[in-house]
Amino acid sequence: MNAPAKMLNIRIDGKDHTIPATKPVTRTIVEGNSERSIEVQVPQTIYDAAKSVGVEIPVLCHRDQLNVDGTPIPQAGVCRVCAVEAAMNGRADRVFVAACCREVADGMEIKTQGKALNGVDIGETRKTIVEMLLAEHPQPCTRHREHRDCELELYAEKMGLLKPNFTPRAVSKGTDFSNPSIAIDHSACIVCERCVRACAAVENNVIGRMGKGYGTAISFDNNKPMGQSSCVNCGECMVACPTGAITYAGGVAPTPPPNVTPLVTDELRKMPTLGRFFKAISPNFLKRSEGAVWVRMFKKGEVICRQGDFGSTAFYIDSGEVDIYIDVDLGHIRTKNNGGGFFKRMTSALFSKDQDNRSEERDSKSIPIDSSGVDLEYGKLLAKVGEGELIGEAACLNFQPRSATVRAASDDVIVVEMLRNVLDMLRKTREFRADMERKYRERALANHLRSVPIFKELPDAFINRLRDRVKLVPVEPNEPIVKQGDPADAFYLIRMGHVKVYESYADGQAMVLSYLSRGQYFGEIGLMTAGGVRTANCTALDHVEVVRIDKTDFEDMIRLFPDIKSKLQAIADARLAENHARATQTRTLSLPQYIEQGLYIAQSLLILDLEKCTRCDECVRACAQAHDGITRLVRDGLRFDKYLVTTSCRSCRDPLCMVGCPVGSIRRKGDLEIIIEDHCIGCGRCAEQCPYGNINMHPIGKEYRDEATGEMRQQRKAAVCDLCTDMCLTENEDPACVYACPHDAAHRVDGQKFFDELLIGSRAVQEKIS
Amino acid sequence: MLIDRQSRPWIVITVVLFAVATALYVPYARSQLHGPTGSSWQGITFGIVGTAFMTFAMLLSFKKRVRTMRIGRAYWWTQGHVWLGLLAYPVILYHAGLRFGPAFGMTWWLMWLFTVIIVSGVVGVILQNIVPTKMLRELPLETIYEQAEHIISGLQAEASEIVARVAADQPEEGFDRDAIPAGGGTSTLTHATAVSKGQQVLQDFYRSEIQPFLQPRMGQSRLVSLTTAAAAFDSVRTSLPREFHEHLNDLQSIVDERRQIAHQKKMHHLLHGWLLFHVPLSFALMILSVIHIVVALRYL
Repeated sequence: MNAPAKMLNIRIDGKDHTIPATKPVTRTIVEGNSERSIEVQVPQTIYDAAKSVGVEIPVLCHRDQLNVDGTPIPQAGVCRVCAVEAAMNGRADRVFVAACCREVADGMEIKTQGKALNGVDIGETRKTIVEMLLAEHPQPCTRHREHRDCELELYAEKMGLLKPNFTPRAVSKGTDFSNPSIAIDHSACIVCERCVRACAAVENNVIGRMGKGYGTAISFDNNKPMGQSSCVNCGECMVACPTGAITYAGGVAPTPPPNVTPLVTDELRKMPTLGRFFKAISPNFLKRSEGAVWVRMFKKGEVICRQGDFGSTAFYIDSGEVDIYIDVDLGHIRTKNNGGGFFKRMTSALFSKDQDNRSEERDSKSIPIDSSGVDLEYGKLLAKVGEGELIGEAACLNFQPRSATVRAASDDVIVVEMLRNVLDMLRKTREFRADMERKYRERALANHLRSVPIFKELPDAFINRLRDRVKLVPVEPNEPIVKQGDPADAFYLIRMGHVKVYESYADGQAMVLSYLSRGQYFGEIGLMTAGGVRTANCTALDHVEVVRIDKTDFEDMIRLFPDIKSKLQAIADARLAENHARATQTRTLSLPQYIEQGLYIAQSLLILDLEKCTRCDECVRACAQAHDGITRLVRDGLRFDKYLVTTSCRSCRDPLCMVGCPVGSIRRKGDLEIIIEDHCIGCGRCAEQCPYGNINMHPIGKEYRDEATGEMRQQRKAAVCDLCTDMCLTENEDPACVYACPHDAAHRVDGQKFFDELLIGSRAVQEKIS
Repeated sequence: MLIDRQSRPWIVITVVLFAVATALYVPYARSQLHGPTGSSWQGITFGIVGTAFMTFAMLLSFKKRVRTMRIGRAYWWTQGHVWLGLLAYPVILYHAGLRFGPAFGMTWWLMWLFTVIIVSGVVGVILQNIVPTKMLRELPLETIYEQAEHIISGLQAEASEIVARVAADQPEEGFDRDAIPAGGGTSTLTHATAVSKGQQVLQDFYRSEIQPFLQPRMGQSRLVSLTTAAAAFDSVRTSLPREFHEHLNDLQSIVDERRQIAHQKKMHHLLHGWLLFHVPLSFALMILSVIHIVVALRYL
């Protein structure tokens, strides 16, 4: 259980409020070569507290939504525009405090406007501060002149400060145009340090302060021209800058594909549908990203993107309707003995799960695809989506192949295509997120929940109840979602991306239990068993979005629907038992190499005794001969002692092949074996991901014409070693590779049994030697 | 290893069959006034049995073409090939009365061919017993033989990328602490000079020694030997500023891998080269044997 948050009683502008003492924020920590994000509780500031009760305090150097990759940029309290009075027991501080930095305390009385206890008007004080900042600032600055959104000048206009009473600076502080894409105007800089903090947040640490007093300014690498500094041109400083001090200078725009005309900033902001979202993005950023968004029109039947292709763009359907479909024969490869007596060999064919139900075959009829609104179904490999839908988000953000083909279903389809940087920025805007979330709740949540077999029977009434209560939570790559040992407070369903589930052990080792993708869920074990504590860590591998169902709703669900409860309980128990068995195996072993190579866990390893093997490749040829000419074995791999553990699927402890499957068709069975579901689209991602090259792409089934090249191609399916099961007459008979080895070098062994004996032998020898 | 504990039954069978054949041959040879001949019924029997053994040995190549056919493990067939093939030689000799026949005649050619085949086979068995173990010990980075050229081109690209990276390194102005002479004093060599000198040394070494060595056909070079190569790299290392040492280490690893590929090629040729004699000569022997049988039966 979560410890109840400490509450504080405070008074803001004469009204009493009770607020939590802390708020959660994300922090990135570095561990060796990797970094991860953690959620920590930090004290609430006056600004946070006021905001939480609906009182707006103006800020300039602070911006609470300012973050880099999800990590908030800390406040600095340098501009003092957020000055307020903070009093305790009727005694105010000597000076006004910066609301963005000052922590609230129990019993604090805060005044954000009107007369302070010392009689000074707080609003007037704030106005003076803005006026003084404005005196050092060109009016209008580049940003305000071009886009009318310099934050300082907007405040000044709001306060009626059209012309400051202070004498403006006589000498310009200078400009820096040494960077081809970013222009610096030091005169417009109010030294708010947003850029310094943004730069530090992405760990560039190029920008700092230089000089003092009147001459204080930002500098790059201790006063180098920006273009000669170690700046990597990421543009975070430009996005963070509230004024026209750091602006886009043109020159380094993304290159759009030929035959499209990218939209410029003004066009983006005036778009009827997406315009309001682009208005929420810094025009500097948009200016710099010109060339990253374009509009395409499609006639009925024209292809927008193809399954299996890699793409770096996402598609927003501006108007019209599109068909999303996967063009694939549903089925898995099964090699079957075709008789023939002595001359028998196997032939491969596609079998659907109805024809050949493998052990632990998933009974889900849903095929997850890369669309915000829909999934496909086994019986119907086509879905229609229309205006306002976002397609290809995961392919764009996570560099994975397109999960489906998208084709215009009407003559008037207008698609806004955008590159990753713009999509990423759009996703960070509150308005866009809210819009996507609303659409998801309205259109997709019910289907998404029902695509999970155990939730198939959930009634509409309950889904409607969940609709307003679930949260769509975006998670940045490497950010933890749940932590082993933490109290379990929610159930999660994955909407986008991949989640790694792993257990940590006391000796620092970790064991990957699974990789989960869209349509899969986690968090039920902690909620249903193990005393309400998380039993494993779940971390985002890429850009992930999860549907979070709070503990109370989850408990209501399992209370109201005992059938779901019993199914979930069975799954949770089975997962726990598997995890326990794996943990026991791991703890009994000592040799790191043995563990690293995953040999102990392999159910059936093909090993070659390198003292006997003459590298004749008869095993490879035999495998090819047994499988329609496509070998599933390569005579290469890791060595252990005198054995070569060849590349044929070994059911690893960290099955990377499962990461990035755009349709989630590869997964691990309870016995750790890999199973490839029928809806594999043959993109080859798993084959690329497998570090041992153990997955082969098997050309099988129908041929099709590649519309991009005009060439005829054959559909492919991923396949792993099947141990020639169907060819062996008895269970103990050897697969083709072993049978064909002329030197008795190839063997199929149980990893743990075989290598345990070997290790015991070597330990005995070592003991004798010592 | 072709000859190990599992070969025992085959060795026993071979020895027993050889003993039986010899036991039959000795009284037969003694009983013949003009010495044993292949045309006697005993000689023909030895010929038939020897040819049967030879034919069985030949069937291994057929078995290797139908690998998935469940007619016994390939290992069983290989053992049979080795031991029965070896046994065929004395049996055929008994058939011929321990003679090769008139010089340059058909039987003379047959016997010499058979002898060469047996010797090459024995050499092959010895090599297959020794070389794999040697490869296991000496080639930790062993790769698939057919991919060697591809890996070599990868190594070339990697090396040239490292050298290009070093060449592109822009040194910062500053004083080189490492360049201060031992015992103190002021160094006249700035860091920038040291870097630029190091870049030149590394590029020269790459162009003159490493690049030619990484070609598919590497010529004579001191990098061929592990010890002379290590000495060459050590000598270059002393001329480089410390920041380039890691790059040099990477280049040395690349050179080591290239050397290992060359060594693997040699081993591979050794392991499989004998087959170039053994297999075609075996086919020639079988064809000549058929002719010999036909001629012998026709003119008997």
